[in-house]
Amino acid sequence: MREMLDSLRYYWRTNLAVMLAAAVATAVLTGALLVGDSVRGSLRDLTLDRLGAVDQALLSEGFFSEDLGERLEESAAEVDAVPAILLQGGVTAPDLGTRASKVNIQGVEESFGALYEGDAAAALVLDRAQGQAFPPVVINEALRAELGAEVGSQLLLQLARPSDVPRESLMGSTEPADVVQRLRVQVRSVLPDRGPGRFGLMPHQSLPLVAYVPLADLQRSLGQRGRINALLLAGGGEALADEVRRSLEVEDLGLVIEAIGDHAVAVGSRELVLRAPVEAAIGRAVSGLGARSMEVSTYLANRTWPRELGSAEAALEAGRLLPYSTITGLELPPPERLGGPAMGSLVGLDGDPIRELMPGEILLNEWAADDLEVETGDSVVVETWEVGEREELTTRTATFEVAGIVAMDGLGADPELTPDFPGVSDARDMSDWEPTFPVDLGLIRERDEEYWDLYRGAPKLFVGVETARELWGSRFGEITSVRVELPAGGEEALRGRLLAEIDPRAAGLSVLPVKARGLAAAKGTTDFGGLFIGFSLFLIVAACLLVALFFRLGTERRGREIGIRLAIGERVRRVRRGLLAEGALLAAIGGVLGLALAVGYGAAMVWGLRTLWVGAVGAPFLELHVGSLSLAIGYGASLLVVVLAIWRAVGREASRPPVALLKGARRDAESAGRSSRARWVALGGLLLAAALWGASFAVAESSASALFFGVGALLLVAGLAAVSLWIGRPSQSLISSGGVEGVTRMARANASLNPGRSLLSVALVASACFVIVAVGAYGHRFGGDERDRDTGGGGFQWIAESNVPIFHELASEEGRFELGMDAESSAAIAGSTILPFRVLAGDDVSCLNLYQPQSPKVLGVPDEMIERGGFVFQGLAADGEELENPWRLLEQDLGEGVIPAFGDYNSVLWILKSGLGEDVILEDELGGVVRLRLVGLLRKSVFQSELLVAEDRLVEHFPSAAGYRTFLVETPPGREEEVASALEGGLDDYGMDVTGVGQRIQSFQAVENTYLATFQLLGGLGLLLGTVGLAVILLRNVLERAGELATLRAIGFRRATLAWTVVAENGLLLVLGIVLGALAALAAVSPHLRGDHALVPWGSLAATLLAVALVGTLACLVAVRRAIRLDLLASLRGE
Amino acid sequence: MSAARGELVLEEVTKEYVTPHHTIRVLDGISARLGPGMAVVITGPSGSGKSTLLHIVGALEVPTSGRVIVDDQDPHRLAEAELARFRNRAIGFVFQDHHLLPQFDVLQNVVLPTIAGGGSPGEGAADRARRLLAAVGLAERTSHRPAELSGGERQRVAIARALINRPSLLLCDEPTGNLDQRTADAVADLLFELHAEEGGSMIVVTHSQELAGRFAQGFELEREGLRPRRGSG
Repeated sequence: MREMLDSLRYYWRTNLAVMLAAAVATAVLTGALLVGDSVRGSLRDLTLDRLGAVDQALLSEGFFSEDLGERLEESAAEVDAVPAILLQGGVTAPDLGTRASKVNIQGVEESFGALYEGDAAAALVLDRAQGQAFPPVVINEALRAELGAEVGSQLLLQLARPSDVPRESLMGSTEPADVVQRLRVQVRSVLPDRGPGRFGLMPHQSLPLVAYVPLADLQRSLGQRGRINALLLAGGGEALADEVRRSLEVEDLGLVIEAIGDHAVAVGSRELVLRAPVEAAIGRAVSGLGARSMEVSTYLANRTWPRELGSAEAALEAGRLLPYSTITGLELPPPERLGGPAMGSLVGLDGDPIRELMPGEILLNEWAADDLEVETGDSVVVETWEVGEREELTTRTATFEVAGIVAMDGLGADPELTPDFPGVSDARDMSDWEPTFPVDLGLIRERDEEYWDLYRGAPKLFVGVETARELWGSRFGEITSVRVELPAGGEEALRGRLLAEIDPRAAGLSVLPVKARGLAAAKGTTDFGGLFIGFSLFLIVAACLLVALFFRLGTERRGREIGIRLAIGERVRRVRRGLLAEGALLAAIGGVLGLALAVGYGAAMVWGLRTLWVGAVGAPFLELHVGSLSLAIGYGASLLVVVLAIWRAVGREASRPPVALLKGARRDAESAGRSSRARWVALGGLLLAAALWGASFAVAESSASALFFGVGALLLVAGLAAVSLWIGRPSQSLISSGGVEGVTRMARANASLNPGRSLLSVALVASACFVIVAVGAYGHRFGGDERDRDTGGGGFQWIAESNVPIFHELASEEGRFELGMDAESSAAIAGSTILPFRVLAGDDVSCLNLYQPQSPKVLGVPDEMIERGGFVFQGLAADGEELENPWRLLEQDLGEGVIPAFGDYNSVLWILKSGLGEDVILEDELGGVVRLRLVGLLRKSVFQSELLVAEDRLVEHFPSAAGYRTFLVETPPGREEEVASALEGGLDDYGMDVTGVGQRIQSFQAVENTYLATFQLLGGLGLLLGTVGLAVILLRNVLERAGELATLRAIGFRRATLAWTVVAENGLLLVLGIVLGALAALAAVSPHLRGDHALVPWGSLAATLLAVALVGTLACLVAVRRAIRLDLLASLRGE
Repeated sequence: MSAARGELVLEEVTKEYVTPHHTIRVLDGISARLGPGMAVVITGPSGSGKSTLLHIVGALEVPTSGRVIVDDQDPHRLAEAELARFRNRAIGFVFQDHHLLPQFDVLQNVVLPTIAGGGSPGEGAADRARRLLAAVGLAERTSHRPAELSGGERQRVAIARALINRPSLLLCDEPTGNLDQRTADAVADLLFELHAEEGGSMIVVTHSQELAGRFAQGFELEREGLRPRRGSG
């Protein structure tokens, strides 16, 4: 031990160098791990910061009573339930002419502030200031900056007005005035961008725009007094969802229960129709209670006429046209359940209950039969509205045989069979109807008004419920109510059973463990620790190389000592062990120092992510987090790597014969046959490269890129072999050479003195340059012909997104008129192709989201898009390769619960960690799961934030994905800007935001480009450190050649000339390495460079290489300094 | 060829080495005069300072005091560039260890001194190198690397290299020290032969009595100064 310590002390300079190099290796490796810690830790901090005390959230697709919060707090004392309305919309500052979209507009009460500790919510002042005319709004700093608003500024909030009735059903309104809600507010205060200032339930690191308004004001504005769409829950554990369920009332699930007499109730929905899973649950509840029930489905028949008259017009002429009557489908079979006494009965004119109604048959109440002058056995034609996929209304007619006439009693004149149709049910007269569908009020006669006065909306026509389902059932549901005979326990028993059977999710109500999900997502999709280890690989390798070099230099200096120890009989193993122990001790001490440096390196990288690379990952919030596990792993791993490097160095030196060590002789010259091997390698490399180059023309573009990379790598190998040949060649004559040429020739000759070492130096520099240039040059930008359909932009110029869903065809003049667009804007848009996409809200799956997506955003692809095709695919399911238009794959039937889907290759691979043929599983709105099977992967497309499925498949599983909020726009050439302005201006109320497709793709590409830049920078640093290694090699060469250098001085060479020789030797190797590596890399990426999309950072690449050359030269000056200061006589004497 | 070529004057040359604890005086006021064209041997026991004296004469080492004049020039007063030029032009050194550059062939090792000043050696220098190599019996080995030569051959190359620039003083430090007797005799023959042909003065330092015995003039180096060797004139 003492011997070891003496050695360490005696060779302290070399040992210090070894320790420092080990420290650098530890610092870089551990620092990279700390970057991972920092990203994860910061995302975690961000989650906790934005959510405050909110652990879970009860969210609803619609609205529910705010009483639920109180009920929940009563049943679960440890839970705080804070009511809120959470919406996303647009905000404009009319006086400033500014606007912001995708703003989180939140209606809250004072209690919301209590969710945050300290003074985080101090600025959340929601009371009205003295003299303030409009409701107050509190905005965050980010929104203030976006709008340029100040305290006191008036803002206009634009929101999608909620509707109980699905807007895309016949009874839903799509009138702009009903769809868009505007609320004028006045800025009361500004919140800092933390705590409530970045509140949002979706995990994303980007700073949200936030606006708070008093809950009551928002409820009033939206027509939802006493109702909310979210309960923010603090406290309560995993059982909270059960607790919530226990606190629910049937009305919270959107159901309406109305008494039918004393012994029955009708279970309906605020949505007018019962969702299919809810309907099924009601069926189970009724069966469970052993009660009898009857399904009811009521719709509107536009016109009804006797078939014998031929047409509606003829019937109108004959005065036998029945306009605007309700028609009800009643459950059939079993007929005996029809007309049970408690639920009302259908009684014939003869007083007997009607028990049978077959498909194709219809019952008319007496009033209608009289009006149409039809009898049992006659046929009538019924015309109803049919709502198309795009909400287009068409009429459909069905012919029925009259199976009987129903007396004006019981169900025959029961207005309760008809739900409250908006704009209809509450009208005093039929002529006052303001329905959501077109009506010809001219058809309404005196008789119809009389019926309305007597029976309101009581159905005049009855069919079997199956017929009703078929004729007017929609994706929103098929049944308007279920009449249930009250069981023994009365209505309470039924309510209890309904709550037990109905899955709240099926009713659009879900408890989301937002904090747990946020924290889980904070683990991130990208392991930044691994990423930065990759980026820093050259640094780590270079540091290890330095450790090995320094250590070897040290052991070589001790060659004679080792030789003597071996000569006096010490065993090789013991010598080796002793050296290794010294090395390990140095590495261990250096590692400890490295841990301190690691914190600095990690902090520098985090600073880089916050500043230099912020544009890509949008992470200005990043803070350094130092995890003890990362420190331990980093220390252990780097110690292992460094000791391995030392072990190799020790092994080589101690294995030399003692005589050679004693003589201080150089290592043996290169093995024989090296030159012929090098010749073969050079030739073979060139031939293979040529073959691959030729082959690249015969394969697909994506494969060609890989081949070219092979070409580059082979050229590098061939080049290195050529360098080996050149170095190993007999030195060129110094005769006839003088000046620079003479010095260069001497330098080359010197390099050839130890060709292996020289070749290693060139190979190291060349390989590093190859990777840095090849990777750096792979930068992409979206470019080329933006009208070309076979690009990532699909030939579209704009992507437009609205805050409020749009329910009309933007592409048609009529649709634009319906949307309230002014004539000028409408004319500007005419001629453009505008494809609308439905949006299922979810997590951004692009690389712009650092959080792990839990439930991806999905777009519904319209038929026109599938028809049109375009875009570039990275991969397609096997059967897709044969398709001329791969978009047809989205129409495939893959079986129950499986939907074909597309994703962007990068997002699927790196963010979703999935691939072609794999499934992404989502919970659908029907209470089940749906598997999105990836059948196509797009390449560098505009769709990197979402997955794509066919629109009809989306709405099948997610009926609430209402309207269209994303649009791809292809404008006539030269009118791009005009169309964009018209879309934004004309649809201002909808918060339409138009972005260039290229710009959007570029924002995704920026992440990749930034990663490339990071790699280039850290790789460059590694290379710089590597050049220090070169200088060490050179220094060793100089020391080994001390005698020669002294001889040269003795025969009259000047110090300056010798210095130049040493510089030239190093420079030669350096330049050879840089040029060879860079040229091979450029060959490798030449197809990419030839393309239109290359975004090559020529400047920074050149600067990196230049810096390498300069630092290499500077480092070499150390060797030079040593060379010219050599003690001439001592060197001549070989001391 | 100048008549004064190879004239050497030593005036009170002293050399001391300073260590942390001692000052060791190796040479103590050595004075001597050597006429042009002379061949002189200096002998003495190990540690007497023979090599140090030779290095001081060859301007590889600076005396602590005293002067060295070679052909009327004191090299120790020259600037670095002029000193290098002096070593290159006026001095030819043959070391005990040949110090050939292994990366160059024999011919290039010999012409090396001709490019030391940064100029091109040209064919003239190459011809002279070939002639010198022929003179040392290595005409057929010009393209060989040092590693391919025997010890005696390497030393002959070193002699040729020392003479390439026609130095005023040929300084040989134990030129046969590493050679067997037969080879040593051959190298000694060569030295005398070339000295006769090339002119200038030659100083050989050796402890080989055989070699010293072949010189007409010789000195024994003692602490006090150079004492003429017995039997030499």
